[in-house]
Amino acid sequence: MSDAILSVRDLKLSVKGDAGLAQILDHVDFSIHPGEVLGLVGESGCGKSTLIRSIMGLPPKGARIESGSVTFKGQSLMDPKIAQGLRGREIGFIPQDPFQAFNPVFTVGDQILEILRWSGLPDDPKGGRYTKELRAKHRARLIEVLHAVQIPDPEEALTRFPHQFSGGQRQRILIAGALASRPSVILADEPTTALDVTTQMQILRLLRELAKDFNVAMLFVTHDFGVVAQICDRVTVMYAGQTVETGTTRQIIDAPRHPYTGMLMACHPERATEITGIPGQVSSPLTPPPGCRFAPRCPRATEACTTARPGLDRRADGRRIACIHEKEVA
Amino acid sequence: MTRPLLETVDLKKHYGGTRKLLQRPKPLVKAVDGIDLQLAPGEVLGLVGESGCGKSTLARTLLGLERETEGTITFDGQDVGGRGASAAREIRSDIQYVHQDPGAALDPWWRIGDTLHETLKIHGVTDKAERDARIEEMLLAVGLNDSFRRRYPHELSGGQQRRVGLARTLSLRPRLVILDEPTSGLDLSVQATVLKLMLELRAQYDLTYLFISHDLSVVERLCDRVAIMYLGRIVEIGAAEQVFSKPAHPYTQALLASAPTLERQEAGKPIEGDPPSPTNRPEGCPFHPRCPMAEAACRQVVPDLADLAAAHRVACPPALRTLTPQ
Ligand SMILES: Nc1ncnc2c1ncn2[C@@H]1O[C@H](COP(=O)(O)OP(=O)(O)O)[C@@H](O)[C@H]1O
Ligand SMILES: Nc1ncnc2c1ncn2[C@@H]1O[C@H](COP(=O)(O)OP(=O)(O)O)[C@@H](O)[C@H]1O
Ligand SMILES: [Mg+2]
Ligand SMILES: [Mg+2]
Repeated sequence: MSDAILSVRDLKLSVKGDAGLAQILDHVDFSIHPGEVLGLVGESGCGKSTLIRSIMGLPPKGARIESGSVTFKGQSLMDPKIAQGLRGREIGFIPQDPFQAFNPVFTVGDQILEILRWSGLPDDPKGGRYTKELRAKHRARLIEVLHAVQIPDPEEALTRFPHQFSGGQRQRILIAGALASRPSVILADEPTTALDVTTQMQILRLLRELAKDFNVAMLFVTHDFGVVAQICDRVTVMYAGQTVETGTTRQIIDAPRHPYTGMLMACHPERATEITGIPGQVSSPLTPPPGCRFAPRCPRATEACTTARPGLDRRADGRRIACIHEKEVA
Repeated sequence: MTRPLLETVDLKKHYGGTRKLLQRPKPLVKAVDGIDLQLAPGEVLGLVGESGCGKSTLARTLLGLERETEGTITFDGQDVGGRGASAAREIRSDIQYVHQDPGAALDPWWRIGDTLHETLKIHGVTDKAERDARIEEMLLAVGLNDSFRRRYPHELSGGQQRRVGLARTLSLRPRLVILDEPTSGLDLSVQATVLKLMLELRAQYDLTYLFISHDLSVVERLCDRVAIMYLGRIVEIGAAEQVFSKPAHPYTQALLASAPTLERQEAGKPIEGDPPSPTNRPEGCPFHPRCPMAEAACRQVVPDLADLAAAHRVACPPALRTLTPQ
C-alpha cells in the first residue's frame, strides 16, 4: 500500500466549556491514501464535524489535544502555522449547506476570488503582492474548474449573486472553489445532505469523476450508507468520538462486524426487515461512559466492555475493529 | 372507496400575478395547479416531489392557512373551502399539522409543559384538569415520561423534539394529520424509531395521515398509497406497492433511480437539470424538458391523470401507450 497522505493517529481532544470538560474525540484513528475516497460515518453528535475542523487546524475554542497526531504528507497539522499554510491550498473543504455558505450581497465570483486571494494558489509567487495580474490568473483558474463542475457559462456565472443559483448549482460552485488550488485532499462535511435526491445523485457522480480526474483524495462525511456505496472506496465508522471499525466499502456494507456498524446498517431501509432504529442516544461528551462508549446501547456488552477501551485491532481480513466480542472468524 | 375523509377537486393556489396600484407586478407563481386528491379514512398517503414542487403550499391550503385560488375542498362530506384563514381553521380543526422542524416551532424560553398547555388553551380547552390529563396521556403515548414537561427545548435531542411535536399536535385530537417532512434532518437510527411511533399512534388514535417527504425510502415503508408531485401537479398516484415496483411516469422512475442504494454504484445516466421553478413553467407537460421520453405533443398539451391499472393513475400519454395492452 502506498504511503498515507493524511493520517489521524490516536487523536484525543477535549473542550473546556461552561458545562465542564467535553471529551469529544477519544482515540480517533485512520488514514487516507492519495486519490482515495474515505467515508466517515456516525450518528449526529459523534464528533465528525469537530474532527474535520481539527484536521483543518481550526479546532473549537477551548479545545485541547490530549494525545495523538494529525499529519499531512508528514507535516503536523496541529501546528497552527503549518495548518494555515495548507488550508485552502493543499487541503480543500466543501461545507454541508450550500444555502448558508454564501453571503447574499456579493457576487459568487467576488466571494470565491476573495477566498483564493487569502489561500493563494500553489504556483503563486511567494510573498508577492495581490496584483491585478494575480487576480486575473485566479479568475482564469476558477473559470477552468467551473467548466469541470459543469456550470454553464462560467464567465457570466461569476457575475451573478448566490440567490440566482439553485442549491445544486451553488454546491457545484463551492466544489469548484475547493478544487481551484488543485488540493491533494478535500474534506467534505455532509455535502449532499441538504439537497434533493435527484441533485444529490448528480453531485455524487460529479465528485466521483472529479476525484479521479483531479487525483484528489477525499474524506467524505455522511450518515447514509447508500451515499457511501456511491462514492467511497473505504469507510471508517465512529461512535461517540471513538473509531469503531474501518474497512473497504463492500466489507463494511456487506458484512459489518462491529455491533454498532451492524445496528446502523440495519436501520437502512434496504436492510431493515422491520422499522426498528437504535434505542437510546449518543452519550454526551460531558459524561462519556467508561471503556467502550457504545456499551450502554450494545446488546453484546458485558462487564469487561465497561472497564477498558477496546483496542482498534487489525483483523485477518484487513479491517480494524474495536470490539472485544468480535473475535476472529475464518 | 368508502366516503373519503378529505377530497379536493381541481385545487389551485397561485401567488402574485396581480398588480396593485403603484406596485411592481409580482410574477405569477402557480405553486399548486389543479390537484384532485382523495384520502380514505385511516390511510397513509405519501406525497413526494423535489423541493419547490408545491408540497408545503398544498399542506397550508388544505389546513386553511392559505385561501385556495380555485377548486373545492371537502372534509368528511362537508364543503370546507372558500374561507379566510380564521374561519377556515375553525371549520377544519379536525385537520392538524406537524411542522418539519418541531424544534424551531417550540418557544425556547418555555418549558415543554407550558407550550403544550398554551397550545390547548389557544384551541379552546379552558379546563386545566382536562389539559393536564391530555398532556399526560400524549407525552406517554409518544414515549416521553412526565419529567419532560419541565424541560426546555434545547435540552431535548432531535428525536425527542419530534416526539414533542407529535404530542402537541395529537393533544388537539385531530382526525387528519398532515406531516410535512417530519423526519428530515434526523439520523436513520432515530428516524426509524420516530416512524415506528407514527404508525403506532395512527392505529391507537384512528388517524389518517398525509405524509409529505422527498425521501422515497421513508414513504415506501410507511404509506399505503403515494402521490408523486411535479410543479404543482400530481403526475402519478397509486398503491405504494404498485408505484414502487412498477413506476410508470418517467419522473417517478428518475426519482427512484436517484435514491442511493447500498448494493452498487449507480452507473446509469442521472436525471438532468435542476428541480424546476414555477416562475418559468414550460408549456405542455411540465416535466418534458428533463424527460427522456418526451415527444412533440408533450411540449404542447398538459397531460391529465388517466387510469393505468386499478388504483394506479399516471399523467403521461407515452407511458400509458407503452404500458397498457392494445
Ligand atoms: N465547542 C464545543 N464545546 C463543547 N461541546 C461541543 C463543542 N462543539 C461540539 N460539541 C459537542 O461535541 C459532540 C460532537 O459534535 P459534532 O462534532 O458537531 O458531531 P457531528 O458532526 O458528528 O454531529 C456533540 O455532543 C456536541 O454537542
Ligand atoms: N407566499 C408565497 N409567495 C410566492 N411564492 C411562494 C409563496 N410560498 C411558496 N411560494 C413558491 O411556491 C413554490 C412551491 O413552494 P413550496 O410549497 O414551499 O414547495 P415544497 O414544499 O414542495 O418545497 C415555490 O416556488 C415557492 O417559491
Ligand atoms: Mg456535523
Ligand atoms: Mg416544503
